[in-house]
Amino acid sequence: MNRDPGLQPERTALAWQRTGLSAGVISLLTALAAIHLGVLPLAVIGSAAAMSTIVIALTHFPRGSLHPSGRVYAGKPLARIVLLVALTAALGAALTLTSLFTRTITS
Amino acid sequence: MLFHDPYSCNSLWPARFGSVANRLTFVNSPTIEPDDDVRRPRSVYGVGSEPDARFSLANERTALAWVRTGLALVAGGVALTTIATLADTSALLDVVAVFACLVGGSLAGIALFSWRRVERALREDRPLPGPVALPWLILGVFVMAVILAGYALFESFARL
Repeated sequence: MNRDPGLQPERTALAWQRTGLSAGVISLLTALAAIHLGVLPLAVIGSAAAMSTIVIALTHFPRGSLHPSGRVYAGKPLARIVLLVALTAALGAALTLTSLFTRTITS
Repeated sequence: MLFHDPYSCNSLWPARFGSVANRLTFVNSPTIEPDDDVRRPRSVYGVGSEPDARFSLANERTALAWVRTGLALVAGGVALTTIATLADTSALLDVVAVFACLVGGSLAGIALFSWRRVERALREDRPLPGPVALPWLILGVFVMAVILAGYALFESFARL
């Protein structure tokens, strides 16, 4: 029988807030690095990705994973945040590779 | 995908913890039949029976912790490449930064994969599967640390 979950829903909501905030800040950092290093297409994509990540993080994630039926539902929000993080990682890798090749070519 | 949650307040956070806790306390059993369960993915929520909410929530928090770890690695990679470009140091740092970003991204994917496995095991009342990502994370971080330490030593001796 399902007993009182105690303070766990609050802990989970806080974990969602932490994760959303970290994802927003780090995607912003990646976009700023792209702008600073002067890689124009990555800077544009990165800025758009950072804006959408921050908007999603502020609107969806503080609510946690509560489903209208009252059940715990983490599948879709989790897939969403993993996709955002993978996109940020891909942008970071592309930025690094671009700076690597421009530096080895010009040096 | 904003669903209409009548208990959510207008401000973005903090969430209404009291109403969240009340809704997850199954004292008054929900009248929703299993056929009305529309939660996706069905490959996870369509098997077995509803586990204890505490275990589901703990599984979710674990997955989120893995995602944050991956994010930290990506941040490290981006910062490393920025410093390497600004200080005009060797290309080895860029290679380490690419490695860090890729490991961070794959950690996020592994988090989702592990969450699905554990959630299915919880629903089917099976023993939980062992951790997949932890040895690889430790190995990756160790390799990066060794490379960076070697590079730092090399640079400091080259300047003597």
